[in-house]
Amino acid sequence: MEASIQVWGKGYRVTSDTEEFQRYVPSGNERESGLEMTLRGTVWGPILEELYGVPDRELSAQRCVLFDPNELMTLAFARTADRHGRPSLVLVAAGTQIQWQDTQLGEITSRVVSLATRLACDYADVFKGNPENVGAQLRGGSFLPSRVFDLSRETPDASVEWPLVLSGVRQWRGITGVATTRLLALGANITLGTRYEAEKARAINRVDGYYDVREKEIRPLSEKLGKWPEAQPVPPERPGRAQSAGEPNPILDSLTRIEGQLERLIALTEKVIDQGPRVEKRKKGLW
Amino acid sequence: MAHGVSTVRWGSGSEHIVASPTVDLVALLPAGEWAAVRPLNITGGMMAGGDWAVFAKAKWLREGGHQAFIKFIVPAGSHAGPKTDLITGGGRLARLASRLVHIKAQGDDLPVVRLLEVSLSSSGLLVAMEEVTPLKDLIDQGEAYQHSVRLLRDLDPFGARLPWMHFDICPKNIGITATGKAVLIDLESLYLKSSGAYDISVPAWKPFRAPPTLVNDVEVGLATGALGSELAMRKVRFEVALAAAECVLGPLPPHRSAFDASQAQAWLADADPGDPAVAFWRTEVDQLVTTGDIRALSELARDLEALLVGHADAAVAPRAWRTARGDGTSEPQPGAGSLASRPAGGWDLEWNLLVPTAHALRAGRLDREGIREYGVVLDDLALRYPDRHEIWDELLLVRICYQKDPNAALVHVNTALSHLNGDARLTRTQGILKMWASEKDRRRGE
Repeated sequence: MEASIQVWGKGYRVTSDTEEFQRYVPSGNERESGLEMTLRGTVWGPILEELYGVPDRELSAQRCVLFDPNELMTLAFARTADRHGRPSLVLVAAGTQIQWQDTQLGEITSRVVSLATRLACDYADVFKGNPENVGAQLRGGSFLPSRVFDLSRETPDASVEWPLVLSGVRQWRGITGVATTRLLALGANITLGTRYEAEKARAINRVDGYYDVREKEIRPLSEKLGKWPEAQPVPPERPGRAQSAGEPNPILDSLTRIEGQLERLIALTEKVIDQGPRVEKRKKGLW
Repeated sequence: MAHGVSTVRWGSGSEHIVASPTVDLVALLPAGEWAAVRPLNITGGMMAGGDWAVFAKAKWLREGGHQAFIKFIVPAGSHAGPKTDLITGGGRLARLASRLVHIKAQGDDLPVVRLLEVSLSSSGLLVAMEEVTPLKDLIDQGEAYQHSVRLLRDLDPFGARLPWMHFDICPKNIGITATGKAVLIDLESLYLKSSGAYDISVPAWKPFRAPPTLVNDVEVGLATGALGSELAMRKVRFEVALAAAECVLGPLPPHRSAFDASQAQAWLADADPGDPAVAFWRTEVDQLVTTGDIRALSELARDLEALLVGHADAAVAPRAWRTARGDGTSEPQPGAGSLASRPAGGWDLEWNLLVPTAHALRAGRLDREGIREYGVVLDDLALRYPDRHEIWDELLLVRICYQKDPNAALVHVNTALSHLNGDARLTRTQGILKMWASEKDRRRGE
């Protein structure tokens, strides 16, 4: 199994793509897949602006997987710096052809996610300070002799239960992708997070549902999602805990409530932290 | 010198290493496949000594990402002398590349380091292999004791599906992989059997490590052309056994003449006679300097292993490391796996050993059990280095961000403050954790 990658960044003039965010790889007119082509039309400004303020740890934990009938593509960002030391971002998109009947789809997804995430981190180091030899390689097309990567030795990404997420995705039509809240703007309409996060994200992005980590299934939030009419129950790729439909689960309910509380607390804390420098600036402005 | 002598700037920024061959690996290697290229200033060895190759460490970004060791052999120029032409002439590099590609294709059938890339261009021959720990380093640091049996088993050429011989087996040319497997690392000296013999193209080895009878037999063998199978196996058997003995007895003292009884006596003088493995190798070394031969490696491995199992309590390696724990025991903690059994070798070493796991944590490659194990190791480290801010920061990161356990985090921050009294950042964290823990407890009580 293989995946082909695209690399985007700032600081080198390599292709004639958008000024604000350049596609470095492929640099020529290579044939692109359908999902890869959607990146060309992306308005990067607002997406990047949102990500600049995200701490490194949180940025590396963001996940986004986009789907179409024949392929999936995952996107990962990492922070780097230009020649003047100003913060900048690197994007690695990794895509692979898929068959929705494939029972290993979750495993494949986790490996593609792992590939994009680790390459984004590595390329962030490679581009740091915009070394001249890297620029020469990018312009000369020798930066990456082949953008195809073997997936068989990739360590699966363990931050998300991808086999269960993909089992859920298979049951619904209308899903364009799954993503953590920060990357929803890239085109995914299912949030990997809580109901609270999904509803909060709906104010800014198109969100039609969320992946419920407790019940291991996708919960719709709009009528744009529909179960496939002829859908047979798709066995999950990993055995889940059996539970009868009406069985009350007070511990899980309690945990969900606590999780909601904590999310609100974290959101509030982040807001306070974000406002800190502005308040300082305002204070200075008054003087 | 075949190629021009000049000073070259290696790497970027302030990293300057002066080397002779005019090759800038940083510019030459595709940066999209090779990251963090760090040129090495290797002085020993035939290639480095003759300025025929440049060396570097780098991260190979394919196949899951691997730390790699790179050897780049610079081709001999048109005015090269006969010796340079023999080693790095175009014809030899082409043959070597072809042989290495063949070796790479054999996978695990040969006990060699994993080759990541072999490519020949007009600039030279690039040989990239997975990074391993040189056995010589482990022997010098007294950390090779437990590899003695493994060496005898992993490097036994007898019965190999693909008959092989390595012409220069010594601790410098043996590596230990992350899984503890012993592999050969100087692949230019590896030969595959052809027409019942081994066609040795560059007969470079260390005769001072062999007894006079073996040195003489090899010289006679080489004079007749290819090295016969029986002699080749005897040479390999001797060299592997000697390296395995060094794992226990320590490095063979430097000497110029052939390895004889007086050399052996000087070497064994400092060994601990109470150690069963030392006694074992003392007998075998006596035997091999007397007869110039040694038993089958599988037999040696079996007997040594049986001896060590039989003396499990007594066989405390004088040079082996054990994990030192605060409670005085030396057993690894249950469930803590390989991380917990790491050596206690000073703060810098232990902290650096955690770096790959710390990266894996941040990249989301640790599952719940992996995170728990990492926490156990950090806990252990915090016990031994309670004054290091870094360890408390990492421990708190795990408890707060990954395990979401405010109570455990609070215990850590309290302990940390008892050692780093008055630290403002920890005090602030303590306040937040108290609120979080009490909120959690209140919710649990509802």
